[in-house]
Amino acid sequence: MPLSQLTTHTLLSLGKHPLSGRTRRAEQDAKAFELAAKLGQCLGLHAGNYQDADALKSFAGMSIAPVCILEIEQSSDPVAALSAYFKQTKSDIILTGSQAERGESSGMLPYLLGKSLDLPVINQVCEVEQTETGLNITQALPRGARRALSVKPPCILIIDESAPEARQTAYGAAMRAEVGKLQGYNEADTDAANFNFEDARKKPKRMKKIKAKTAADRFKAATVSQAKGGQVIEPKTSQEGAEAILKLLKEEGLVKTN
Amino acid sequence: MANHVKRVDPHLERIKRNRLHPRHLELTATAISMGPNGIIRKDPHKVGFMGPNGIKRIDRANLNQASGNVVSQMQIEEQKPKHIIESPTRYIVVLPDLAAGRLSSHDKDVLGYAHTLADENTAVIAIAFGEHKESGWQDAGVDRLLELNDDIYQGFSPEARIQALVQIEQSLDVTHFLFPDSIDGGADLGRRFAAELDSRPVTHGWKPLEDSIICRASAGTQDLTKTLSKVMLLDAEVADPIDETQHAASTLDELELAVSAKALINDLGMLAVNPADISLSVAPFILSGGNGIRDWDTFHQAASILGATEGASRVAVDDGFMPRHRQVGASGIWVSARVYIAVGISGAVQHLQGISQVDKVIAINTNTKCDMIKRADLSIIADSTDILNALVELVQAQEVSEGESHAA
Repeated sequence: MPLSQLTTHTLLSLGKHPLSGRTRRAEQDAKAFELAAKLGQCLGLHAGNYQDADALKSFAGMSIAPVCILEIEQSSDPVAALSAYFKQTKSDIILTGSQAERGESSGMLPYLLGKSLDLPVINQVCEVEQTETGLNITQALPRGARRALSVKPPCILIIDESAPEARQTAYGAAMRAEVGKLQGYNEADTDAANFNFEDARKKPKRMKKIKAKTAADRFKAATVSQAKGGQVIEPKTSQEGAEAILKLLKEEGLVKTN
Repeated sequence: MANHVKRVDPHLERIKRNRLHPRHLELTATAISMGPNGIIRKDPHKVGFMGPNGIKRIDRANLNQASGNVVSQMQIEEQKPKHIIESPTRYIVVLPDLAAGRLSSHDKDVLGYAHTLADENTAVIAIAFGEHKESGWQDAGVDRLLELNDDIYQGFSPEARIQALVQIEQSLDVTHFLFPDSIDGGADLGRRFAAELDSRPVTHGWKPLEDSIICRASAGTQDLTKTLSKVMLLDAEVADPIDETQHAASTLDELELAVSAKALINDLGMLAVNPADISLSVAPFILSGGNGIRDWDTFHQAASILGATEGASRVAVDDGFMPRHRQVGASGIWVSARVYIAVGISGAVQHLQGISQVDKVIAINTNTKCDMIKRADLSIIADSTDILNALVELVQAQEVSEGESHAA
């Protein structure tokens, strides 16, 4: 099945600028939309209120695909609405960001959607490629490492920070764009109704804990510098020095041991 | 009377006065004995030693007794009170990331938090998926250890891991499953498991309260207080790590897990990444050059053969040997490598700040007194070019012998 025949949905959410607090496109969702541009036929989908259509136009301004709002009430659960939508409209690939920039921001949506639609979920995706049998996916791991995975669509892919940068949004194209409207399925999210958000408190810096039990230990901790020197080698031959380094590198698993 | 004549052995007296004498400690050691009622008695007359001027000295901080000091520290470690739970009725399960095969500080914080939730009948289980190199489970607060390193748990295997966790949830009385909310795997596994159990988890929990926990929301810009949930994903420094008790870390073997190998996602293995493409701030292995390098070609060759990302000190960048985006230090990039080889870098304060988060530092330098050698875990005092050449030869010889063994 060539990729151009695959149908892709990108789940879009409203972002919030971390300093000014202004509404913007969610950066991770923009990256997901950018990745979807390579994958043929695509639709940007947002579950929420149609009043946010103006803010979502910045996604339309990327000129990748049409943007559509699945309209639900303020108190409704977007997972239920999206799940109901995807049970009716089949999608081969669902692309999402890893967490929303507003609200609970738990990052649970793709996993809950995967559970309710019984689809495999892959996180930290930075590249997608089509093969004869399915999709080859590059997963970005910490410390710049990459892992290759393969999966058969349909599947849910969560974009990583290291995915290609999203293109800019064009103001003119955004203003001219029409945002579609679909009626979503409403199911109240009772837990979320009681959430009380506050401004983030600053995390205190962890204090150094003094564990000394006697006055002498406390005195020592305060006066003696905790100088910890490592092993110092003055090798007779450079071979000897190089072997010492190689031994440490092998212990850390950075050079293969034979 | 002859009995009252004080006998003095001038040889022993001299040893008592000489703090550097090998037998000094055994003659001057504090006389601490057990009294008849089991009370520790100290003889005040035997405390201290005679100083060189005949003045009695009491060395309360053990400043001069380096060897004796080490012994007493070891004794303190052995004396850590044991925290043993014979027959637990409930469990708290912690899933450490074991990034690089060892418990990270984040993992230890989560284990510490688990013990704040545990009562005297609750044991903390740590589950280690895949291979690991960790040996300090007892000191990190693990009461029971479950090591699952069958083939189906290797690599990226969320489906098998979730199956195993679901079976553990069904067979044991588990009050909480705790995950570090980190990109090393805990964030993903925890969310998958919460979705599987269909329970709303605590995510990015960072400040425990009485029966609830404050979580970061809105991508870290807001706080949200949630009640404790079955599955909790916790930020680093959520609680202090365990360090004053020793735990059993006995294997949990009464569990029979039946995990099928059915997987929709196939792991095709790790991809080779060009070390030069990895951002310096996250690179795991950095070879960094400074003013002491004369042969930069050898340096670049060594970096490519070792598979290290290249870094540089400010001097090397200013002199034009390396580009500005490779500069490590306060005005360059703060690195977090696991191993950092500093070649010909003396260790200016600004540079040492930049490498403060590095695990292991190897210094190659000709100056034994430079600051980098005080910071380094391994220092080689030699000419950098010779050492790098020898290192390249060793690695190449090893690759050749590997190739031959594969061919044979």
